[in-house]
Amino acid sequence: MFRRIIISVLIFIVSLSFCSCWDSLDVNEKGMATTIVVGKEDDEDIFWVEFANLGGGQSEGSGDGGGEKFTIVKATGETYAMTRKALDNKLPKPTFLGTVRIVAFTESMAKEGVAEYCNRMRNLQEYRKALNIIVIPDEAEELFDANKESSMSTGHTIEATVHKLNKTGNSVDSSLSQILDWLSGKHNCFLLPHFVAEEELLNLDGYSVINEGDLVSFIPMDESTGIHYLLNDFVISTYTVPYDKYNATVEVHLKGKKVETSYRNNQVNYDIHFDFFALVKYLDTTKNLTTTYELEVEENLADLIADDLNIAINTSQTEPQSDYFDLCEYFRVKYPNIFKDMDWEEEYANAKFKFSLNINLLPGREYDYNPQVDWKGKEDE
Amino acid sequence: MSNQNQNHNDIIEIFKKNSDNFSTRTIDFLNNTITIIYIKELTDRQSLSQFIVKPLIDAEYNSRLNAQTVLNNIIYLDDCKIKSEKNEIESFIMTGFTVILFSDSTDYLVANVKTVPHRSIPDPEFNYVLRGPRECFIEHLDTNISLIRYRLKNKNLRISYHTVGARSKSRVAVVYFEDIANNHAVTQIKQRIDSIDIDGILESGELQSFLLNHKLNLFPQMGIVERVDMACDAMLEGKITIYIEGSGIALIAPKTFREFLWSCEDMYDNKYIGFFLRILRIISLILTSIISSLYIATVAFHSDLLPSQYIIMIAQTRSQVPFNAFIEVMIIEIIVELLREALLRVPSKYGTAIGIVGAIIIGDAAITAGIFSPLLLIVVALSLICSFIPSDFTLVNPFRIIKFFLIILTAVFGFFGLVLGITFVLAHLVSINSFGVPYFAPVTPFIRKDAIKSVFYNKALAKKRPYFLNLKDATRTSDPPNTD
Amino acid sequence: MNNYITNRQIAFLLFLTLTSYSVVDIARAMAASAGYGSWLTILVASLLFAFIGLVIISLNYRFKGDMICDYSKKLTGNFISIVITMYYIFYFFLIVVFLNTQLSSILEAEFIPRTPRAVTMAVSIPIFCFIAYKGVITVGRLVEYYGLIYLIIMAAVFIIMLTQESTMRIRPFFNEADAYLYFQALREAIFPFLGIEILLVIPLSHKNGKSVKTTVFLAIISIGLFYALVVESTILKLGMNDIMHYNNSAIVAIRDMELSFLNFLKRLDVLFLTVGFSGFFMGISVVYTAILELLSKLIPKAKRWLLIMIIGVISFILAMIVLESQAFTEFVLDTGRYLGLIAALVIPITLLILSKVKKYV
Repeated sequence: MFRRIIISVLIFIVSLSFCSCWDSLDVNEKGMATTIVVGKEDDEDIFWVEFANLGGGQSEGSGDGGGEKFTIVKATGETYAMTRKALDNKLPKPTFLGTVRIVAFTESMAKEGVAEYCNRMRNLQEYRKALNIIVIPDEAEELFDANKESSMSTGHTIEATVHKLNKTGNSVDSSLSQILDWLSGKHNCFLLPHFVAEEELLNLDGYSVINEGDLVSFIPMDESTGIHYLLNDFVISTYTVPYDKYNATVEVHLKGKKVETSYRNNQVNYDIHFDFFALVKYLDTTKNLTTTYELEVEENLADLIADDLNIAINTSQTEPQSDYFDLCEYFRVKYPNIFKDMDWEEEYANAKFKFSLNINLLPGREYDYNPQVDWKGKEDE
Repeated sequence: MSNQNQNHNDIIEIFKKNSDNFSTRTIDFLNNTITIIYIKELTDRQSLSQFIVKPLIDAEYNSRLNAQTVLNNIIYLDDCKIKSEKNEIESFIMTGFTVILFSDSTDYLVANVKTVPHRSIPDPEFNYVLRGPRECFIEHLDTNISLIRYRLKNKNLRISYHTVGARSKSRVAVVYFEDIANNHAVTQIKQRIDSIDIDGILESGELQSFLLNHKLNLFPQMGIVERVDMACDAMLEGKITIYIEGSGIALIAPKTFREFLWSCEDMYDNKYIGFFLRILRIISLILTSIISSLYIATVAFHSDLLPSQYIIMIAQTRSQVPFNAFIEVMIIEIIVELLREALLRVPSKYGTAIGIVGAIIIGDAAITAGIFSPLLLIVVALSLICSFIPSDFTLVNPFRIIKFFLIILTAVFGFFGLVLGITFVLAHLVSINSFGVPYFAPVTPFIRKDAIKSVFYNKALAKKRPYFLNLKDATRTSDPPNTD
Repeated sequence: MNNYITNRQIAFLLFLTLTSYSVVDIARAMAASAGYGSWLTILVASLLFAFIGLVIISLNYRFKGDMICDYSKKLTGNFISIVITMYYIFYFFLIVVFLNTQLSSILEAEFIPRTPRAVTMAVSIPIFCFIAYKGVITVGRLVEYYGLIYLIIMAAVFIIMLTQESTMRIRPFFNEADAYLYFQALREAIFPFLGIEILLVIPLSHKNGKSVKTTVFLAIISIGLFYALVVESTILKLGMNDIMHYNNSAIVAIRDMELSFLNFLKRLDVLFLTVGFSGFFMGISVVYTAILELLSKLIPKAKRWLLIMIIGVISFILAMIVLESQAFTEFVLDTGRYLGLIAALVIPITLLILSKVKKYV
């Protein structure tokens, strides 16, 4: 009797379990979103969502022509929830957000505030926290149009660009997880990459400064070399350094930096030491780079780097007075009790910075710009 | 005496009446009559005539022959015994012996002039090796025993004979080293053999099912062996081998899970290659069980486990497929199983054609028609190839069944279901014992030295036998010199 | 051979029982209470619980071959022994119901949101009961196998996590002004170490030897180190501010990682889905085993399979009742820690003292 009850119960459990595969949905039954642009226009939220087309067996990156690889869908609504509802009403498949690589805020939306949508992304479990967040101009369609001929989605193109630049330290970390952490903290000021469509290509043209969740200013790429040095531990950049009547193109590698902070007379002080080594890539003259010239190049290079650093710091201290270099962390670690009660924005604006640079100039690795030996048969000059 | 004569005459009459099946030869002497009874299909009649009948006929007509004198002075046979139990006469005749009855005595002779047609020693079918001996067991028990004796020339080698099957009376030989094998296991096996109550056992597989600890268990708890060297190696490890007349496959007990993945070839070749192949077999066993389930879990549940480019690529390859991942996998797996069975049964001349047809139909045409996705075909093909890698198919067969169980669980619950299924299977596996030896030893319970040796094994380095086998003699040193 | 739990198996049993659930949310709990000094709180807690573990194992070692219900009978008499056994059964039931609800909750929150929680429990509980039915020896072998894989992979994941971000996010490691916070936070560190009382249901053999005490002590210290690693790496990955927003912080942190050098395996969720959940299953199975063993001693005439069926059904029904109850979760996390302390510390130490007194009287 008992055995029959047990068997009946087991059959019931098995039938119940297998009567519906609740979470089972094949990957091709989902709408693969690759890029999401969040904008604002006339008090309405707008979503532009780029979906990968799955038809015809064409894979991303196959480069085959014929037929759109990606579809852009636009939806509007008064709130994010309503906008999403409007989007769902247009789509034949449920949206899958696991393939989203880039979430872009238009400038007008960023000025309204990025915090709400970032919180929404935190709550939507499908979003991967490693995706990148950027800012773009209000004309979102131009972004997608510029990428039309590419075999990659807009999101992947931008992500690949950011990752490539990150490898040389020439970009900033704008992953969702990092931004959520910044937004949750007491001090939340950070940079987001700013992309524009330029001549059918997507171009990183600078950084948008976000303070308290709102876009407050823009830093063009020309002024951002110093930002990279301050934010990243490894940077490769190139300078054209004048010496005498000539110019030397020098590749500079940031090997490391050391940040020391102190608090004297109610003022925050930073003493940052940078270690560089520099490689002379080529000269604009056939004349040798003698030792004297090398010293001159080194000095001029140091000046150029110092200028970049000063520009970066001054910009952050003057307008918008935002510590987007996260320098507060060094202060917090050393003076946790003082930091707790501090108005960091005010303190940072008055902070004193001192930079010391150690540059090790290598005249050249493969090419010796100052050869000590000469060909015997050479004509006299 | 006349009563006893009457009894013997009765027996003789019974066999004479059944002359289609039994042959009798009567030789008269002055004082008594000798009757020879045998089954001609099982008897070497030339030897019978030459070594029994002719010497008897040549004996003096007036001589008084009894069993003892005939045995000592007349017949030319080495294997001949005097017996007196009347109720065993029939049994001896049925098992192929020649019985010589004496009209004036209760004693009789049982002579072994048996001959059974059997094939010559073949090459291995499923224990094939590139490097190593190729002698295999055959259906003739004595030949098998002689092959073992040829390789293991030690006085401690014990062969214990038993008979099973009321009608088949199949001979079973239990062979082991008395000074190495675990006594408890030996006793257990012998007792179980002796307690078998069935009309006939014709093959070692049938015998195996009577000997198991857990009779309804899916997993094999005894090994099968085809090659002589593998059987001898097992006995040198302290195992017990069991042979049954009429079967060319021997049984090995006890056997642990990891031993099903080992092959003797690992020991004959370079130890590093052996190590590599063992790891390969473990990986292949795992892959064959779970790779289809992994496909379902990734495609249907947790698509974001893969980077986005791969997800989009997989989605694009599946865009034309009308089935969902679970149905797709089940159809392909069933087709593969059907093909596998078909290729086993089909004559070899058709086998190649069927293989090609199967590959073309399933592979190319199905993808072109958009019925299956190319990735799935690769997955299933990989699973199939991996199932052929472990050296013992008796271990892979249960995993072919478990694979479907895992596929169904994964189809409902995704990775959670897969892990649940694997946990269930593992829990079952670690709870099994094979004749007192934990099935998953030496992994769990973990014995470090045995675990290392089980993966990286070389006889030159392993001076001791595995500890978990609980053997009488754990060292592999040689015997002391024979002083006889 | 090996019809006893080896020392190695005891160590892994402890490891999986303690860490399988706690690893999911310990980072947030510790970050909220101890801040940047969480590692210190955990290490101090591990030291304290290591000594508690020593008490328990000494008691077991003194009465080899017996469980708590056996030697409590010898020490306190029948009635009190029954009361103690019933207390442990009630306590383990509470834990097992809690773990089942948490398992289904994590699955729903992170991996399979549409599958009803009742169904996941209905499928998983029979498996846990099956494992428990197989007995302590089987469970010991299983945890030995799973525990090693779990430890290696989880440790590797969290060590890699430590390299993902700047260590500024977890500094300062020690702030004198916050020292009182670190010790106040010990209260939060109790629950992650509860589970050592499972040792009371594991009978020791003379083959375990005196080294079992060292094994247990070191195992608990190692668990503390593991917890410290998990907490610090999770805080490093998610940030001290953001971690407060996540119920299952470790899972979120693992999902957050993308290791580009691993190419198509760069997302590591699958590791928690497989290895993490395997450890979780084992942890729950161990508690079921404890209940079964105690009940079998309490009602020796009852068939084992019947008992485990009843345990499974009751645990399922209770879990269904408290499924959506936040109050139950808070009760377990708040009051449960004190119940656990009674189970892990008060009762064993009382019995140990009694055993020593009886030895000399």
